[in-house]
Order: sequence, then C-alpha cells, then structure tokens
Amino acid sequence: MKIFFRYLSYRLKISALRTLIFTALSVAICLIGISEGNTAEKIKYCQSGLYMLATALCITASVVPLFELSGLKNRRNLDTLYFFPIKREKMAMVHFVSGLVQVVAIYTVTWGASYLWLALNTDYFALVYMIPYYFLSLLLAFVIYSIYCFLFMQANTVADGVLFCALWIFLPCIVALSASWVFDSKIADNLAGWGIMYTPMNNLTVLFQDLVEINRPDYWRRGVEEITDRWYMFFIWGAVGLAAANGYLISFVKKGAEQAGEISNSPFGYALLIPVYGYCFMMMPFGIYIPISLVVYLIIMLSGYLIYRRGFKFKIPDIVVTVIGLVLPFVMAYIKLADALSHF
Amino acid sequence: MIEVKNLGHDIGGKIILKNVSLALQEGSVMGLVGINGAGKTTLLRLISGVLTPKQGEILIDGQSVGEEEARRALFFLPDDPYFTIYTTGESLYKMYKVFYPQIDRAVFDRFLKEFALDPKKPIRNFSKGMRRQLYISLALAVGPKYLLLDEAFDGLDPLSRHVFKRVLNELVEENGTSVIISSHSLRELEDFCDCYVLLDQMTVSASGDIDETVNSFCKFQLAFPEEIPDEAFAHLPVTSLEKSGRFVRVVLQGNAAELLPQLQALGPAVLEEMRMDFEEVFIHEVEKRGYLK
Repeated sequence: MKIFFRYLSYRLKISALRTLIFTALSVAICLIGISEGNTAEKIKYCQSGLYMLATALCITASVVPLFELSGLKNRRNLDTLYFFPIKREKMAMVHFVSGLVQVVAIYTVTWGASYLWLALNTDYFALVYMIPYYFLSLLLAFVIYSIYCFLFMQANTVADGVLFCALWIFLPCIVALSASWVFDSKIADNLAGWGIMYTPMNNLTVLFQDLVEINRPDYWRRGVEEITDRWYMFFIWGAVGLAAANGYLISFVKKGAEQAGEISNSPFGYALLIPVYGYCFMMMPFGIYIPISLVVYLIIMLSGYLIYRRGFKFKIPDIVVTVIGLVLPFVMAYIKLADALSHF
Repeated sequence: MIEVKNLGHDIGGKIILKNVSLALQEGSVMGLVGINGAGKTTLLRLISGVLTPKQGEILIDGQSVGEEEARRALFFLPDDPYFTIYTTGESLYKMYKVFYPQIDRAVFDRFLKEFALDPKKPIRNFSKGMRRQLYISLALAVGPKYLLLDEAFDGLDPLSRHVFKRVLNELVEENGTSVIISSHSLRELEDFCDCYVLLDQMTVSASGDIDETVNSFCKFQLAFPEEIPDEAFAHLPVTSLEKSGRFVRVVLQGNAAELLPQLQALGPAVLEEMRMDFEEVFIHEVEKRGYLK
C-alpha cells in the first residue's frame, strides 16, 4: 500500500494549485450570494445560501473528474503511466480518491466560510441544520462524482468524455418524459422529476433550506412533504452512485492503453446516447404530428454518428438504428390509438 | 531474465503480433529491428506492461509483468514520452521518485549537466532530442535492471548519440542492466548490441548473436577480364548479386575462407573481400522477404 499513498500524495500535490483556485472561486461565489441576500435592507428576503453551496458542490463534483482523468485519454501519457510499478486497480483508486479529496476539500472550505459568515452576520438561521446538510450533501456529491468518473472513463478522448457527461445529465429524464407520454405511467412521471442527477441535491437543499431558514420572517415550506414522501429516490440514486463507482474501477482496469485517442465504442457512450436521444425526440408529443420532428431526428442521428465515427464513416448498425427510429413513432402512435379505442 | 512466451496481440481486431517468443538474458543488450509497422513498439509496450497481451505471457525474473514487483525492475522509454505544458525536468524527477524511490539525484544531475539541460525549464520548449536526453538521464538515475528503449537514437545529434552510447555501456557494465532497444539506426545498434530480434510478418522471423549473424555472410568485389553470366555463380550460396559490366559485387551466405577458393575458380582478375555490416544483413533479409525491390 506504500505505493498507493505515495502516488495519492503526489496526485494531491500536483493538483493543489487547481484545488486552491477552485476553492477560491467556490468561496467567492457562495459568499457573494449569501451576503447579497442578507443585507439589512433585504432582511425580509434573507437567504441561508444553501442553494449557492449546492450549486458550487455540484459544479465541483462534475468538473473535478474531468481534470483528474483527462490525462488518461492520451496515449503518450499512458505509455509512461502504465509502465510504472503500480497495479491498475490501485492507480484507478488513487485517481478516484484524489479527485474525491479535492471535492471534499473545496466544499468543506466553502461550507465553513459560508457557515462562519452566517454565524457572524446573522442571527435568524437555525445553523445547526447546516451540519447534517454538510454530510448528506457530500454523500450526494459522491454520487455525482462517481457517475461522472464512470462516464468519463467510457470515452477514449477528452472531447468524447465531456460530451458523454453532458448528454447523460438529461438522458434518464428525457427517457422518462417520453415514456410518460407513451404509457401514461406515474412511475415514468416520477422518474422524469427525479431523472436528472442533480435533482436529489436540489431536493435535499430545498428540504434543509426550509429547516435552516425556519425562523425567517417570510418562512414558507416548499414542498417538504413531496420530497420526504419520495425518500426512496435518494436510495436509488445512492445505489446508482455505488454502481457507477464500481463501473469506473472496472472500466479503468479493463481499458487498454491502445484505446486512448481511438473511437469511443463504449455501450454507455454514443452507441446508446445517439439512438436514445433520437428516439426520444421522435416520441415526444409533437413527434408524429409535426413533420419538422423528422428533420430534427435526422439531424440528431446524422450529427451524432458524424461525431461518433469522426467523419462520414457510417456503419451498417448506424443505418439500421436510424431506420428503426423512423418506424418507431408509427408503432407508438398505433399503440396509443389502440389504447384510446379500447376505452370506447 | 525477460521471457516472452507465445505472445499474441491485436488492436481492434487487427493482428499486430502472433506467437512471439524471445528471452533476454541478464546483462545482454538486444536490438529489436524490423521495418516500419512490424510491431516493435507494440512489443515493447507489451513487455513494459503498458498493454495487456491477448495471448501468451511475459515474465520478468519469473513473475508476470502485471505484478508491481516485476515492473519495479523495468524502465520503459517510449518513442514519444509524457509531458504536459507545465512539465519540467524537476517535476519529472519528482514523478519518477514516487515509483522509483531508489532514483539517484546525483546521477540525474550529472547527466543533465552532461547534456546541458536546465531542469527548471518547461520541456515543451525542448527539441525532441533534448527531451530524449532528459528521459535518458532519468533512466540512468533510476538504474533499472531492465531498460526498454523505443527508437532510442531518434532526434539525438551525433554528440548526444556518442554520450548516450557511452553511458548506456556504463550502465550495462557497471549495473548489469539488460537492454532491449528498438531503432532504425542499425549501425548504432551494431556498436553495442550483442543480440538481435527481427520482427516480420507479426512474429520473430530471425534472431541471434549480431556478430555471428554478420559473420555468416561475406561480401566480395570481383573484376573479370570479360563479362560473365549470372549462371556462373549458380553453384554458390548467393544472397545478392550486383553486376555492372565486368564488375561484380556478390554477397554470399557462409564462411569467407571456405567460399574464397570457389570464387577464385571463376578466374577473376581482381578479387577483394569487403566488410559486411549489420545494416547490410538487415537489408538483405528484408530484400529476401520481398519488401525492397
């Protein structure tokens, strides 16, 4: 384990400047946000700044993996890193832990600065609730961080990695929205509301903001019941986070150095994202009524495969997937029609 | 000892190496030769543990190359090694110290001085040769048991080549380091390699002692009173025959002393034995395989 800690310490040292800059930005954004909302004149609209904290944490947990893992997308770097006498599993863990430590460090300083500011400048917040919020929000940040680590590892280039991360943010939500239109399902509705990986953090923040700001002169409860009623969604996202962390480790170990810079063929990458986005757009309520949706669909598929294959190098599966998408709305329309007729 | 057993590898379904077997004895220097795309870099990346072989195994002193302990004995200097826009000699030293705690600062400084490199300057401003010198300094400071060098002489000026060969010889003689070195500069390889491996058709097509291989060929220049037909050499083990009027240059496979009387029997006015080098042997080998016309 000596090599693990030596490498971890090295990684933390070389990312110290970056961590410092991120921390300064995060603290500045939060303090400006909090102080803006808590001037003497605006006392009626005072804010605990939990939203600012949550935003800073979400951004940090999303961005740090990209910085921490981008060096692994370059063949030249891998030729050096992979011959070092350290097992891939340990190297994967070091990069994961190193990034996580940075996230925790940035957030802890930001949270501490916000807490201190509120404690010193205001007396109407129940700051004791900020302590459980700190720990719970970190757990959710772990989920976001793990998902991004996993998604970024699926790509073979930095650009593909950034695209995967960006496209996956809304994917479950878009799928659920499409499903809710086609199947009128409450589960799909529920998933659409919770389908963005930042939703749990948002809802946790709403909950704790209500608790921290309980003494506000204009206090009002913002849907606490709705959030606490769906407590299980936190566990679902927690499970997703754990699975993502595990998936990251497996991907890191299995990914060969020869894949760096090559086309990103992961089943969690373009191969899944392009058809799902395309199909979902086709199945949206306007999908079968407005011909323009067909053009949008073809643009999505064409540009998607152009980026995926890096040029007009389409393969037969790409064409098959695109053709299936053209038929899909008619099948869905038939299902809807049959469903409607059955009610007569 | 490095042992490569029945190694096979493909990249995206394209076979790069198949059934490659070789052994690097302790203290020996092996030259890895082959035409462009023969798989030399892939083989070095496999031996160094950068790539995981799809078939076969690689053992370093009896341990799989996947083991940390085995890789601790290795140092791989790729053709185009790692650096970022911020990397300096100093920062590289710190990175290598993480994995090779035994790295000798005094040796590193000595070679930086010898190559006239500033460890505080960002290496993005260095030429390819200077970067290579920096990495060679790191390799020498680590003092590994096995050193793998890809395109070792690429970008080095004649003086740096000279220094490099000298320090490499020091490393081999003083530390007992074994080296595998791939290069297109066969004359440089001949200077300090004691054995070679020729990669062709995705596998090892020839290997052995460099001197023995070079000595297994002999080259003669002959001048005849009048032009003679090619068939006159048909009974000889000819590898290459060049004719220009009455003048003939012939490369034969075999011992020069044994073949000389047979050439004399052809009645040349002038018969002169010429020196054969490793590069010529290599060219004959690739010609034989139909790569050069």
